[in-house]
Amino acid sequence: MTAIRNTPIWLHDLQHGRRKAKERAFEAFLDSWHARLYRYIRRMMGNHEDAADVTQETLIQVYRSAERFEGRSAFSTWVYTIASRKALDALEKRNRHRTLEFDEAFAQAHTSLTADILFTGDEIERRLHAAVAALPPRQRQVFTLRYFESLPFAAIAEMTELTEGSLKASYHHAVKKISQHVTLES
Amino acid sequence: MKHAPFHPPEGFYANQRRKVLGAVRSHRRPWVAIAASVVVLFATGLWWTQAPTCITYACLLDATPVEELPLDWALDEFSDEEIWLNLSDESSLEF
Repeated sequence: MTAIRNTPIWLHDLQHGRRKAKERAFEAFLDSWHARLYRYIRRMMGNHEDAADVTQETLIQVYRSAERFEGRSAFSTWVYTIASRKALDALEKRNRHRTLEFDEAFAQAHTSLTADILFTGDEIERRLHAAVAALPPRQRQVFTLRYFESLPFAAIAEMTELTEGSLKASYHHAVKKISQHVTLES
Repeated sequence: MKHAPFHPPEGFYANQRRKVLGAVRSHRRPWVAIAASVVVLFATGLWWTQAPTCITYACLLDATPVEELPLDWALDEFSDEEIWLNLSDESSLEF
């Protein structure tokens, strides 16, 4: 049986509405999701320019694929799945020719965040986000969804098609790596 | 959801919202473009069937408005009188 959980009231129109109704529903979707998606993607991509591109692609994809959402997972899980795929694809393209060690990637991300005028956090937050940016993309996805977006492991398991056990292990490793870099010298 | 220590540039959400709405609205335009092409094709067909059918150069010259004739080019190319075509006795077979 398909279960539609936490269904927003505009979802039906977004999926099956005629043109005007669908556009109105999409505007309601943007009201509640635009900033949330940008923040998630910004954490995944590490800078504003890439995050802006991926956010735009994600929003358009949601509009175009809405009728294919079957309600087997929560709508939020479906949206995060699209955003994650777009972000991972973009990261793969960006990192195709270079793989950095964690420490090297951390140092590079820290320098970049120090120069980023759009970053308003303190030194601990800078180190935290630099450490997140230094994680391999899939581990970064798991950590970001669990820690920042507070998604349950069950939802992340649906999105990634991994078992909850392996996700918990991946999350645990990520927390260990990050806490070493956040607590050091801070 | 935790606090995010970064912000997009001012006006980012409004600008991107405008772009995204523009993109999803233009998504349906292929159908509009196809419909417009069919109308243009139909109108061209109508005009073509009503246009005079020329089978001789003389007819074509008569049917072409003076301002559309390549006069500068013709004056340069055919300044020698001997090479001007004599169109007075051409038959439809010569076209």
